Amino acid sequence: MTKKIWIVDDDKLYTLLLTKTIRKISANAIIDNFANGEEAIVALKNSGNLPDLIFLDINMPIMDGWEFLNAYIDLKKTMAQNIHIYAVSSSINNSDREKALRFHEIAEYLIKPIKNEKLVEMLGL
Amino acid sequence: MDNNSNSSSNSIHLKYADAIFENTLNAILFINNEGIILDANPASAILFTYPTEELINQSLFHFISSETPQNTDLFWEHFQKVSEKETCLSFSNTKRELKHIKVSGSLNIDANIHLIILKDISIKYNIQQHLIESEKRLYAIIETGQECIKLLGPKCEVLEINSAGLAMIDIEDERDVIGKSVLPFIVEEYRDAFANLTHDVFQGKSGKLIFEMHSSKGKHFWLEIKAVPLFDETNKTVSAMLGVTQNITERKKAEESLIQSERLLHNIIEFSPIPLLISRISDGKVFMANHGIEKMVGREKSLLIGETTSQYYVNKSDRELIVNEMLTKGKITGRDLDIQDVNGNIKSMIISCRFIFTENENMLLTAFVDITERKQKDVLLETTKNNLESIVNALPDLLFRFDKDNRYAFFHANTTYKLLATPEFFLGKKITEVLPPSLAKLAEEKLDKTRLSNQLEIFEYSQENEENETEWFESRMINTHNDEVLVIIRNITAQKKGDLAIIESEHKFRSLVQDLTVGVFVQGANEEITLTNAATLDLLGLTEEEMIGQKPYHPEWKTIHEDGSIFLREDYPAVKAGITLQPIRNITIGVLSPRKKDIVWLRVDATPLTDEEGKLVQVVCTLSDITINKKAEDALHKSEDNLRTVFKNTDKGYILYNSQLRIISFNENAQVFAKQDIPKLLEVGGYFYDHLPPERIEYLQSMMSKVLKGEILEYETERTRPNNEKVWYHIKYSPVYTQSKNVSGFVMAVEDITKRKIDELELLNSFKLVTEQNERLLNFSYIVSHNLRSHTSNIKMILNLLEEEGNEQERTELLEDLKSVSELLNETIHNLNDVVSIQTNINTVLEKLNLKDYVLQALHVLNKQTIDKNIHIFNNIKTSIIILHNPAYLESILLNFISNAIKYSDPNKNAYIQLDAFTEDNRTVLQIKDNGIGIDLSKNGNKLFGMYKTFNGNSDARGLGLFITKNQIESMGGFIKTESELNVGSTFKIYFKQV
Repeated sequence: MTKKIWIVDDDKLYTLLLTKTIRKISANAIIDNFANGEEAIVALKNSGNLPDLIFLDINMPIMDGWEFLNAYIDLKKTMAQNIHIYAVSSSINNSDREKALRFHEIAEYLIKPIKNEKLVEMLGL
Repeated sequence: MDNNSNSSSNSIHLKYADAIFENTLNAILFINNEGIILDANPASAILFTYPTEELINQSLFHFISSETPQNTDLFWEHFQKVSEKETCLSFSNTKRELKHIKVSGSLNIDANIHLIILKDISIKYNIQQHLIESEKRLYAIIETGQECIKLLGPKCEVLEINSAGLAMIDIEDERDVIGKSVLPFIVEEYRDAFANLTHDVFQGKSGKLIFEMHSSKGKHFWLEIKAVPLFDETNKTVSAMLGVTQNITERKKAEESLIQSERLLHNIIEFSPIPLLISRISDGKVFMANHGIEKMVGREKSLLIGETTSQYYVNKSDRELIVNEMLTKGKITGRDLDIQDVNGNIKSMIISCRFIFTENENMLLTAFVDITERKQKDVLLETTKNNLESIVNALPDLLFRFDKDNRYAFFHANTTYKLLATPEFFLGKKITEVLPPSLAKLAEEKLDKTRLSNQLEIFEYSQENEENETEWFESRMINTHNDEVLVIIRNITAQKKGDLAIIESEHKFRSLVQDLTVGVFVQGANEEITLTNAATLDLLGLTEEEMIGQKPYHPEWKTIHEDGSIFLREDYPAVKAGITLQPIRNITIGVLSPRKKDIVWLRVDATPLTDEEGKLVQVVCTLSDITINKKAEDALHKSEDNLRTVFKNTDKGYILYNSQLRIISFNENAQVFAKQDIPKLLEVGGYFYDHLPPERIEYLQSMMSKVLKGEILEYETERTRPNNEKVWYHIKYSPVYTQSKNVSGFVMAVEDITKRKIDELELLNSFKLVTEQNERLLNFSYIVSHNLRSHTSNIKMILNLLEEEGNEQERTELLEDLKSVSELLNETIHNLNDVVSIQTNINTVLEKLNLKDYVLQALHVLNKQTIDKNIHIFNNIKTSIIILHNPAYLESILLNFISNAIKYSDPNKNAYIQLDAFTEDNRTVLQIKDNGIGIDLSKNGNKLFGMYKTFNGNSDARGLGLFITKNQIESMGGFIKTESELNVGSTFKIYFKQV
């Protein structure tokens, strides 16, 4: 089954590299990129084609990962589909991990880079 | 006289005659010779009780002679006689009334006509007849009476005398005495009196005389004569003395006898040992009273006579009751009567009364028996009897009386006494029939012994009751009379048990005293020691033999006061307690025992015990070893001395207050602080609240009650002196306790901690700075880690793809990517270096800088951009403002804020930037205000000064400027405040460190 994946991250290089890595694992995966949380929220509101999972960066300009999550919580009530959201960060600050895990909407807090095995698991392959 | 005058005179005469005829009381009749009534007046009708009209033509004799025919002759004879003698006729009229008439009249007043006047003399006739009869009777009486009735002449000569009179003087023929004087018959001593009486009677008086006479034959008589005068017909002259003489010889004898009796009675009454009283029945007046009465009522006889008896009665109504009882019963025997003597003493009497009848008055003889004493004795006897009965009834004892055969003759048992049988069961039975054999034998032995010794025999015995418990009895036997023995049995089980308990208790008490760790000894009334315990002996270093019987002030036992002086006898607590009879407490005695090395210090209490009369029985003394305490106390004194030295030499101020918050003492330092920082100087007795700054009073009022309950209170307080110098004090209130653990006051300790406080504040500031720095460093480390890891993460991903990528084109692209990462990494490291340089330069050199100069320099650098964006600059900063800062940082800060204001200016407005500098909270503040696009602080406030944080979508933004600026400001001890509103503008206030 083709997975629809959203990458929400301001690091364009990282987005590119992750996209390439996912394609290596699942060539059919449908991947969309958003440079910040705000773009992703707008897409969620407007797109009828919701993703299966979101790789969400925490540190982003305009709307960071936390702000996205707060907006998503409000939005989720109107959504028919449950989305697996993975918080992805370079921060090894434990407070970020703890904060992330307080959001029930986050499936897992991952440190960049995401290992291939993990990606395989996440994509359900 | 002429005819006319004659006829007129006749006519008048006729009228007179008619009037007389009609109205006279005498019957006037005109009769003819035959006695026929021709006319009759009304009085005739009354005489004959016959109507007047019907009298006419009736015969007069029909009325007066029908029953007495002789009257007719007598009638006519009257008229024929010449004699003036009256003719009286008697007849019965028609009503059968006997009438007596006197006849008069004139015959032949006209031819054959006779005037007859009949006067009714019936009343007079009847009286005369009565008189005649009376005289006859009188004479008969005189003749037949026992009294001598005689008529005497003025010389006492006998004129007439009756036969009783003759008999009295033993003369048979009256001629022997008629005309002779009676005086010779009278005893000589009464003759004059008789002659005088006779003389008086002839003077017209009446009289009476009792006299003695003797008859012709020598018989003696006592006579009483009542004499009245007899007048002659003229009624003026006394013709004779009528004397009625009665023989009173018998009466006289009786009277004499009575006098004798009276005398006897008087003597009897007078000399009777019984109080006797004669009083008048009618009014109770005392007629006679004897010596006994005199004594009884306490009043002389002479004064008593004439007084009324009732005044001596307690109940005044008693007299009436007594009289009534006498009148109904005729006598009284043994009646109770309470009397009251003149002194008010009430006496109980028994009285007996009898009537004494005399000629004039009826008297009452009353005899009194004084029973007052007897009555009192009776009452006493009754009381004693009742008391005795009560005692016997109340006694918990059994009482018996045994006769000489040891039989129960009397038995009394209290109701509480458990008896096997009723008292009646015992009576008459022998002791062996009733009691168990062993007890009966014992009782018989004791009874015999009692009879022999004739003394009180007391013994105890025990017996098991129905519950098989042993009961104890005490028997007391005493021989009364006739070998009868009175026995009293008392159940003494409780007492016996009590005695045993006392013995046990005393044993326990002695053991307890012996075992007490406190020394105890008892001193007798003569100050000798009677009891002691082991602890006492140990404390004093004596043996019991050495101590018992001795006095506490034994010359060989050395005892001293705390000051080392020797104890005298009166000083010893036991002796003192014995003398004053008051407990003596807490006396400290030092004992120098030859058997002990050191002085033993004792605390001694002595309590006197007295008997019911308050007399000393013994004194109980307790001794506590306070040697250790004493040493501690000495140490405390030394410690106190040391403390006093410290008190004087400390840097702290100490004020000692009592529980009434009054100053007891204070040291010099306290006064020094007071002079500088409190409204009033300290003085002993001064009030706590008078020495406080007013603003502290309310707080301390609430706290002092806690301190006085034992809490310690301490705090630090800042004080600004008049010269604006700030000082800090540490103040501590510590409660002071008495020995009994009560708070007696508190010590206020005042310490000037200004220097320490300043150091502390500086330390606190440094700490805050370091903490902030650490925090920043930690955050920085996260930032560094994050940023570096972002790059390394990408590198790792590129390398992974390179490893797997076979396509050369792809590999080339990946290598390009790797190059980009490398550059970004380099830039990041460079940036980090900038930041690290700020972070690490904690001690960067600070200089005093003119703010305006630096602002102008920054504006100059940014002049082109300002002009390009047509931004108006208002620079209000004064030249005089100097700040303490690092010059390079200030330059960087100004460039960053002003360039941001230019960068985010609103092209749709007349953009301006306003620069101001002022002082706020002792800091110099630089304010940079613009009317640019503004920031949504609610959304992005937290990112404003973050590293690599951009939030306005501007492609120029690197997210580093404000991060570095903030770090530069904070590293110089300043801080930033931001106010901003989207589309309105932003204001940044930079607070520089104080100069």
